[in-house]
Amino acid sequence: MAPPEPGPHPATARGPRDRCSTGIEALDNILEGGIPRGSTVLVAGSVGTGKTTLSLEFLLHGAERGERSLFLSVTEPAAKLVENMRSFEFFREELLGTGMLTLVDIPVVYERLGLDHEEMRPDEIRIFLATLDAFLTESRARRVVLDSLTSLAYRIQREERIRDFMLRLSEILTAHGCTTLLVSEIGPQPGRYSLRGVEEAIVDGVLLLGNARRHGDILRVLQVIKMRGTPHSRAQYVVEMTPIGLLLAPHFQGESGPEE
Amino acid sequence: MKERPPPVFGIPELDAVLGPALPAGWLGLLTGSPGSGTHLLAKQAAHAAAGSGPVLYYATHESAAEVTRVFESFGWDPLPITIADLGRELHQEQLDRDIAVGRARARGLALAEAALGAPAVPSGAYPPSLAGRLLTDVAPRDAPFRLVLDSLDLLLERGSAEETTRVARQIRHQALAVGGGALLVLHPAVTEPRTVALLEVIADFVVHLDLVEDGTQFYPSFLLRKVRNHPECARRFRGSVTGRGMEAQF
Ligand SMILES: Nc1ncnc2c1ncn2[C@@H]1O[C@H](COP(=O)(O)OP(=O)(O)O)[C@@H](O)[C@H]1O
Ligand SMILES: [Mg+2]
Repeated sequence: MAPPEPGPHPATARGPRDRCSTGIEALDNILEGGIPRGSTVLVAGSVGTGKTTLSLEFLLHGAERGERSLFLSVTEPAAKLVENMRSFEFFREELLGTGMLTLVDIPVVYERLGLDHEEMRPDEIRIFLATLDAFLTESRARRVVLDSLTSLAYRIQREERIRDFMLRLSEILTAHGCTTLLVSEIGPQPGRYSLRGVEEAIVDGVLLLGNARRHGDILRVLQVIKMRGTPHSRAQYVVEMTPIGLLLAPHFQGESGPEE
Repeated sequence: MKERPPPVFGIPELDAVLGPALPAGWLGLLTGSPGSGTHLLAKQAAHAAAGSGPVLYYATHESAAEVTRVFESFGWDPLPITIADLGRELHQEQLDRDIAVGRARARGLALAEAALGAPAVPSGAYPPSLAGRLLTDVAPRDAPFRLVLDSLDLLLERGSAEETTRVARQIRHQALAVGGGALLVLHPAVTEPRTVALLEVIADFVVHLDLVEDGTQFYPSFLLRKVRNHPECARRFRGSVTGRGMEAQF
């Protein structure tokens, strides 16, 4: 086999159909064109590191290209997410009306199905997962974001139940063939990408968002920790949030202090 | 010149002791065993304040119609009293919600029911918190009111002991702020001793009712067992029930 031709998008050699472009150009370049289609990727980071913003951009980019997109919001009301998206120049209101982008308030699901108490029992977990399954079928979503897996899993405290839940969730996502971002809220300490540990076991990739100090400033940084089927750099990139989306620039470690 | 506050129970002997000892806003606790007359005395305390300002009567074991009927049977005008049947409100709303949830689970939820722009879940599908309901009724008041809750059982059963004592404190605080009084009925036989004790600490006075057997006769006995800052006021009264309500002799 001939080596792939050098170029800005080596993924074109494999065919862009296999890759789900994130819309963040530099990230797509690191990932050889994007996230492998059908994979589930953990987007981990502490509060304010840009997990929701990155996820929204990922979905908006998909919706623009005619890929149905579904945002399952546990922590923020859907109406507030729309407000956040308006800060993107490329956001178009029509995407919401046409069903290309659907925002779901998970707390409403809890309420309507009587799951609105602290701990979910096994039969309630089944009902919840069946509902997600039905939502994926109905929406025909190619891209899915769950923001956040952490707060969802918070209602399942028992170790064996959380494990079953994660496996079943992963099965459902795989069966529908969607490319999924699972948001993981973690503390600022390095070394872990999820609260319970089991989350990491079901994903094909991990994107880590964080903070880094430089000259007294705190920068947002992004790092691809893992991406199945993709040789990639593990370098840290500085993230800038702009009206045209997230911009990445190489992060020169020499200039940085310890990670926050 | 301020108007004189209305009597607490409409029982002159008891009111004569309590009235001068109470602050302008108070929280009283009425305890008793079932059958001792707590339901009747609670209604009489509501009637005693009729005409002096808003009177809120919350029933948890009786319907509004039953409460009204008892008022009328003693010749008390029920019209000035706002009667709420909390038991019915809560059970009906709980039932509505259970049915809605059962249906949603059976047919499955459509995306449109949870997506942005979904119609709001019909109100009544949520069981309201009883504490929230009481406090929303009481908190906006800026003039003396009378509140009678018969009884705390439902709050203790649906909420928690902590919530119940918190609500009692908040109602007392509001009564202190704007004047008036709140009487809460409690059945100690079905309540944790610690909760009873805590509510007795919060209350400005505690009246305990007993049914006393006297040969073949029974009569209610009132024990005024606590008046804040006035230990000398504690005493027992022999009660009776006439066509005009409950009466007492020292
Ligand atoms: N286009 C933008 N330009 C500048 N700041 C932004 C933009 N979009 C979002 N932010 C800010 O970035 C911060 C992090 O956003 P968010 O994605 O919600 O973080 P996380 O989901 O990790 O908690 C927020 O304080 C938000 O106000
Ligand atoms: Mg977020």
